[in-house]
Amino acid sequence: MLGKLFKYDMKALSRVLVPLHIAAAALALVACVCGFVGFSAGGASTGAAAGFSEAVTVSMLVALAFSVLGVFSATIATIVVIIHRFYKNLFTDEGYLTLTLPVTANQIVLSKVLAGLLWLLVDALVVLGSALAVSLAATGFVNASISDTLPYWMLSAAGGGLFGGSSAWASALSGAVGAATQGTMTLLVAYAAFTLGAVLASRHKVAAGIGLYLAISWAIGLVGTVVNVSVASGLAFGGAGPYASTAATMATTGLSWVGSLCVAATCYVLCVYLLDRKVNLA
Amino acid sequence: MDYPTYPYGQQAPWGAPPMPGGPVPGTFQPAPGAPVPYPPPANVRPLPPIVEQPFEPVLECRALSKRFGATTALGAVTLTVPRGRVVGLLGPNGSGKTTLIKLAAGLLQPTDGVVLVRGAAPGRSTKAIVSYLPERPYFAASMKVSETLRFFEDFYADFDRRLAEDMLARLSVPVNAQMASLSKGTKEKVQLVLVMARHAALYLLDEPIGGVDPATRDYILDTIIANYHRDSTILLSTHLVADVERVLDEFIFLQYGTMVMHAPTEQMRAQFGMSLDDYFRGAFRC
Repeated sequence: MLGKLFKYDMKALSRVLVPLHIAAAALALVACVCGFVGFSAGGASTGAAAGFSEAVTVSMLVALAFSVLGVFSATIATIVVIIHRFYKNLFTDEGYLTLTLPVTANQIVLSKVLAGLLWLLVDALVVLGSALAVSLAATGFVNASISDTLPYWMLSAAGGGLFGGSSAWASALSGAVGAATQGTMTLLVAYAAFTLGAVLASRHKVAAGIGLYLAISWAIGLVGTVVNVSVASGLAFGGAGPYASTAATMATTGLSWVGSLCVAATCYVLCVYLLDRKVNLA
Repeated sequence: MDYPTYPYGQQAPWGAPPMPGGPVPGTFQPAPGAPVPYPPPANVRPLPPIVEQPFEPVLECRALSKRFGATTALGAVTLTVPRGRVVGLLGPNGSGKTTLIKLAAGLLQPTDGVVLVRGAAPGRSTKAIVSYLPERPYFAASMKVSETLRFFEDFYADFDRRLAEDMLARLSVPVNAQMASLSKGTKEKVQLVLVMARHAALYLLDEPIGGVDPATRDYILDTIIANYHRDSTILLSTHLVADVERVLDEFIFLQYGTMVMHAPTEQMRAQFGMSLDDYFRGAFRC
């Protein structure tokens, strides 16, 4: 039954997300062209040719920026579509069908988690691939160093510190794992928030879900910050010496992974419990 | 009442023998010749549980209550619905019919009391033997009719696809049409076909004829009876009493969330000399 639920969840999500990511890939192609043209046009240095060259470069940069913005917007749109599908399939008229199927609440939630994570992975591959292509195009396809590409910067920002910056590939891998745990946590916090909103609120359930999501995210962020600062301070003042900074980065990165997975697991259990025992589809 | 033979000669999966004939003992019996009270007198107790059931009841409610905040939608309802009957759940708007059906379907959690389907609380096992028709469309607008057939085939082991396709063909419903492109009445017919094409132990039909024209109402009721297996129970809620009376074996009257009466249909006619519709109009007159 889990397989069948997953099949229909993927079908419903793909109906919207496949065209969305095709459009994102097309925007990435436009960004690549803009980047390459802008890079190529930046040759002339004197006279009218320099002015024209500069105008072309600036125009291409602006077009590049908007195209890249469009590509990254696909991630936000993907998350919104996934959460919308979750809510609509369970707490609107479609819920009369889903909640009367001969399946367990665990199967329903697990199916939606797997479908959501798979699409987040697809989205990440499309966005990172686009970012890589744009990076290479903007440097005339001559840059061969991973650490000078946009995807590397993105992954490093997402938590690439576990290996203490030992190598670019290690940092990228660490960032990928960090992004995966963060994405999992974000998805499950959203599912739990909207389920809780549907259970607690008699009206304006969507608004309740959004409010709960913001509140839970804020609380998680606050706790995470307190923990990270405490750990980093402890290491700095606890005799880690010249390695304090590296140790703090590694420790906080590892803690954030563990914390994200714990929060995700808690939200999963909460979702299943509420769906099984507390949902009233009025 | 003569039950039509199931057209494809198939047995229900649970293989239970048919109920013996004859009416179930009623619970409200005014003195012979006495005028029929509208509604029954306050000193008449709500019914005792139906006894002498040779088989396990398919639906049982014990002091079942449901409150939404300060509003009591259903108040301490106790009833038993046996196998092999077509039972009308009747009452004016807001009497608790939909609430009772949703509790049995597992879409609502009871505030107090219990609801049991073949002895089990609503859950995965009961949902496999209960076929539920809500009063609203529940398929995604982008789904095609053929996809809804596939959906039911995937999730319900008792779904008869050949029967469903046959009924859809007789209704001239295009199987490649999207649900969004169908009229309201056609959507309701598609959902009814899917629900009745299952060999379920209990059919919960919530206002199946509420939003359609009189000719379609007759068709829907004929479809329900023609495809209903003798071992199954149909619990059908409606406020259009006159239209459904001819198909009911028993009726349950609800008012303000409480049960007013539960008796065989024939008893109403035999003892009171009036139709259910006449009683309904008198008892629930505004």
